[in-house]
Amino acid sequence: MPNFDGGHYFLTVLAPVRNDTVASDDGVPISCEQALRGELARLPTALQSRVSVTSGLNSPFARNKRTHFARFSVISDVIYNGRNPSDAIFNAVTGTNPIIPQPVDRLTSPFLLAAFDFDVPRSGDDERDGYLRELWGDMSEELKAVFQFCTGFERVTDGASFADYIAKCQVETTMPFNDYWITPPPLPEFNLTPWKLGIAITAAIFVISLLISLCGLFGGDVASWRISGMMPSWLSWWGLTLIGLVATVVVIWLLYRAVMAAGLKPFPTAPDSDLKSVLKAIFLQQRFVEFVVEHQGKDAAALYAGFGAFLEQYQPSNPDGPTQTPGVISTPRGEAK
Amino acid sequence: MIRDLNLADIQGNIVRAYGSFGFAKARYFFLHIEDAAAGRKFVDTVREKVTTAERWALGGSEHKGKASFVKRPNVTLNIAFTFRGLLALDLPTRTLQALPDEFIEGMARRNHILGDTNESAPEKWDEIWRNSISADGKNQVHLWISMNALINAKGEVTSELETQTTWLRELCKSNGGVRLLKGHGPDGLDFQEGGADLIPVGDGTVRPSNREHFEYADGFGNPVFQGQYETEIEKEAVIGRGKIMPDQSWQPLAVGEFILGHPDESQGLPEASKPWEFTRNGTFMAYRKLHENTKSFVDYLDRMAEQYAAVMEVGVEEARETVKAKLVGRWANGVPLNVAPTYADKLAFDKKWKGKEDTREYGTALRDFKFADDLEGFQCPVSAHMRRANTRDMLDPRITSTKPSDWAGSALNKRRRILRRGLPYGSFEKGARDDNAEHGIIFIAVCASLFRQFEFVQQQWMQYGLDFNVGNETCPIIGNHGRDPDAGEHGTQSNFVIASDPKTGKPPFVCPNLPQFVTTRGGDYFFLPSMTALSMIAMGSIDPT
Repeated sequence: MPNFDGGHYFLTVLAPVRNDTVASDDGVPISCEQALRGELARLPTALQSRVSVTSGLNSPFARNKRTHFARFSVISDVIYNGRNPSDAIFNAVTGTNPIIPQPVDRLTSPFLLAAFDFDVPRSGDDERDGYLRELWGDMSEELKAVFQFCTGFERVTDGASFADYIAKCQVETTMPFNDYWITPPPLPEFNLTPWKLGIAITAAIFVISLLISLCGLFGGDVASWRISGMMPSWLSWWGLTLIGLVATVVVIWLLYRAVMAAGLKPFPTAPDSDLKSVLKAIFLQQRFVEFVVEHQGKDAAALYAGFGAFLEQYQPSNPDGPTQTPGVISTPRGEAK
Repeated sequence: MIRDLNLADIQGNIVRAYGSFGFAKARYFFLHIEDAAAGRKFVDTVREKVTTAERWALGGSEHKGKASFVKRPNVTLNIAFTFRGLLALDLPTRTLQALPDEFIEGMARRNHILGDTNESAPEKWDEIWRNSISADGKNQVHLWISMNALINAKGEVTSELETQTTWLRELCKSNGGVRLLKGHGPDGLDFQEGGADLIPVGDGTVRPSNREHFEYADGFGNPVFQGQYETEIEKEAVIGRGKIMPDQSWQPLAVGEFILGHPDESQGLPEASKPWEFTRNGTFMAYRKLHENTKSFVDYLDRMAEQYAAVMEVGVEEARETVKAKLVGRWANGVPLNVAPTYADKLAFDKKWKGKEDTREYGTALRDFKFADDLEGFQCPVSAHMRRANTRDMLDPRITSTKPSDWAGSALNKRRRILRRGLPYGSFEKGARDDNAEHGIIFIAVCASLFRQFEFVQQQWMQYGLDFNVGNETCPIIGNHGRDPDAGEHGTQSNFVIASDPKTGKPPFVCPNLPQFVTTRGGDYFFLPSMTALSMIAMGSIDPT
């Protein structure tokens, strides 16, 4: 299930937005879609872009220590791509009249897209629900402010009911994005050779018997052409053609099943790819560059002492030790604790 | 099929870097059009003097027996337009609106993409450029006219340069609707001068050098495209200057990378406006005045040389030359680190070629290398200026594969090439180094798409380092090294890492907190039309329907 991949859960949610109106802060009636867009515009983003980096108002998702990425978006409607393309000659033959409009696909309401990527130890709905309960504890006020404009959210009262609500709105993530492998991951080999052999044999039976059967149509005495000891007397060449065809289709179908089954296996978890470790790594990189610059050219004794102090101060193997807080672009030296 | 280029329709500065044809001095004029009709008349007069790309009869073996060659002029003239210039000339809206976004916006409004912040911010540019972007619009730069002039053996510039300058000034006066703009620097001139360093040979004569003010030889990697050279010359010229094919051979780049209206490296036609005849055989140009802080550079280099000498246990002179070479990727005289990786190699290379520096073979030797054998940057650091500007085969994602059929050559580089057509400016007097002296480089980049080529190289490769695994470190030479003023305490100053082969037992060396070596003093984006388009502009006959 691609919802879980590489040690991370990729949660995709499509929550229908209410079609009614609400009062804006100024008392003007506005649609729920407008109100939702306003709420999202006010929701602080992480302090990681030119406009936000010094704002001091961090994203509420930064309170959670498992969330790698979180994004909201409003989908007003599907994009209309125009009439289905068709061929003029085909239309003439089938009597299709291009003046008659085709139906236009529309969504019944706007949808709120929510996508969260977070650390989980294993696949499963329980892990997803555990995260959602945790998130509710971290930022229930902000979640309420956003989701209040979605259909059915009025029933959500606590972490458990929030998890239930999200589960109902979940759609499968079919293309998760893994970016934490810095070396090629250990992937199992898929051996195609026996499959190729199987398809070659069954297809050969089909093609050869078909050719022989066709000879029969043009007057050849194919009934007397037998593979001695291997073809029972009741089996005609046409029968063998059919068997070859069915066998080929079955082998290709089995191959398809095997490929899809292999594709559904989750990608292995990259080492140290949980949020805490990633933040620690980013933090250490910054401190280590400073260390190298300051100790460049120093003698062995000074380097030894300096690195000892570095290890003690920054505790590289302790992800809970001095580290970077979530949602910031860097940790300036003065803030490193 | 490769069709011969219509060289008589293409402006000469696209196909030729005049500096390498003996034109060691240049004047760049900027003009403002006050009246569309007068502007068209002006263009019509100037049009007759424009130097095209037609081949010159130089008398060399290259052109023997071809009668069609024209005589080389003593002074060239080329003309280009900003978007606001085309607007001032009353071009049709449909033609104007389909021009590329970055060209419409102009260089100053693209400053965050280009890294022109801090000391390079547009509000700190030369007066002419500050006037150009001021809200009143009265001194907008509309036209660019360049003159490149030959020098004689003594280094004296041909008198025709002054004659032609006077002609241009008189033309502005008599025309009445077009005005020359001032404010290029401290001298109050109505043009920006440019000129190569002229090095005395010893017998009273001089030779123009390709050195800029940090004393690096410059301009080796200028791309070669189909039809630029005759077949015989092309074979050797493409080495190190063309594109690398999957079979690792060198081929000229597609014309459409540099000239509009021709297929490009994506096997499509480059994006351009309507009508077809207006953009075909024309192209775009980025003009930038890049100031060089020579004192900061030399002081920093001296400081790093001492540290490098101590860490690597080499002499200070060797350390100085080595650090200087690592910053760029070439030794100061242009010999690439990938050809001569160590100081000893460099001395041996110089010795081998002594007295043969004028030969074509020497020129080829300075370009004939790839990065496949140096992916870690032990020879040429991955963040060096040259590696950033032209990544050659380095970004081939399958470069380490043992199967040649996997290789992609320079597939991720061939759409990011620019033709370099500038010259240094300012005095080369070797007096006291001074950051405030008026000197630097007139950087001119010619390409079919400023966005895809010039801006991409500038933003992603010069002002960022992700493609080279160096995070947000910028180019050690031309990069913006300062803290982003908007990032507060989160802004970082740029470092430069010199990787060290673990086999040597020496540690890598970090050049920390790079000072600002190069600052932008102004510039803009220009359209360099074909001769056909120039006459369409002059006649007011552009019909986009």
